[in-house]
Amino acid sequence: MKRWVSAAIAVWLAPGAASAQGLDVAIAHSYLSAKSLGQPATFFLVGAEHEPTLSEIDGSILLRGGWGASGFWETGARALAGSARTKPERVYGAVARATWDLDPVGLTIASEYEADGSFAVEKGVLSAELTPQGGPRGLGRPWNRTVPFRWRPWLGAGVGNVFDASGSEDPERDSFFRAYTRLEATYTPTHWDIGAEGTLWAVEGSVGTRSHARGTVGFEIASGVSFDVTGEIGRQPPSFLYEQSFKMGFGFHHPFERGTKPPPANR
Amino acid sequence: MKKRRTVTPTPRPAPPEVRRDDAGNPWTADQVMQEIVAIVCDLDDNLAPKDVTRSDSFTDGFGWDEWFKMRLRKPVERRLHESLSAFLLMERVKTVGDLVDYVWSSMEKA
Repeated sequence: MKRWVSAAIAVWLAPGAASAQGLDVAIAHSYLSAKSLGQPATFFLVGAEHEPTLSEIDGSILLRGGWGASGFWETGARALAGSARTKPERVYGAVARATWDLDPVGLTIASEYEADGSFAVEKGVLSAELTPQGGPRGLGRPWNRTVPFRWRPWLGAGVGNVFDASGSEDPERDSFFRAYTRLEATYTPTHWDIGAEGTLWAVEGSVGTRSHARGTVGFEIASGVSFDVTGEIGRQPPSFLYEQSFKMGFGFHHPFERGTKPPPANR
Repeated sequence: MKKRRTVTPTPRPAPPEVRRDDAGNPWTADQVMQEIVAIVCDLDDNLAPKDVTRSDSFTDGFGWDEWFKMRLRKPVERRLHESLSAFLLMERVKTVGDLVDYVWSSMEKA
């Protein structure tokens, strides 16, 4: 079965956890970008009079380990699900990827399996994406000492295969190629995290582009716990169904970087 | 009879420990700290040497994201001649002091 091709690539990419320089784990909104990894996984309850209370969970878990001097590997899963979303609107994914510091850019090669909630749409994507590590003002670092605003662009491309029949709104059929650019921006005054992330896909097929934008305002209640307001609009893989939502809920975030002292070098 | 005063010599401070990087250059811990402060300030023009202390966190203190922090690798290798893995830098080196301690511990005793 073709879906096992992804799994095989995933296993290949998760190289010798053996070479272990230790493992670390993160729980966050999504593993799709650094911005998303910096945001909490969220749990929302949606209520209305005379209506059952619905829920939504949007989160990911990612394991990371070292790979040689200039790289590291990651593997994980994500879910955007819950009773507040219809099955076609739900998104599940699993990824294995490796990243290298190619100063002045970071390169990530990823293999991802993505599916909707009813598994009517299933895809495997092998992609590469680049981000400059530094550059103009605000790229990866604060705009200045008093304005904690920073941004980061990404450029990526992927080839994939549709394992299962695509939905009618999905421009990707059978084998496909997609290129994308993502821009993320964050403003982080004390206790607050105000962020926006927009992605534009150029998709092979009759329809040229798809886009998705997400904005979040988070207030840190306690370490790792926040109150979040999120708005989303647009279409995103795997099914590219149009969505528009505005939600409030609680977020949980366990970032990478345990903050332990680095081990002394072996001498 | 006059008492003779006994003078106890004050101990001289021990000279700072010197270690060698992979290219054989000698360094003291203070010099390593100064060089890392210089590297940090070269990368981020928002920072001046007086703003950088051992306890400053690269992410919470300077506001760098993990990709920007990765830029420390090459200057550390070029100027301090010590290699630093990307994983270690991203995951374990949280503060300026962590980086100084790691580089210092990587150097050989002279």
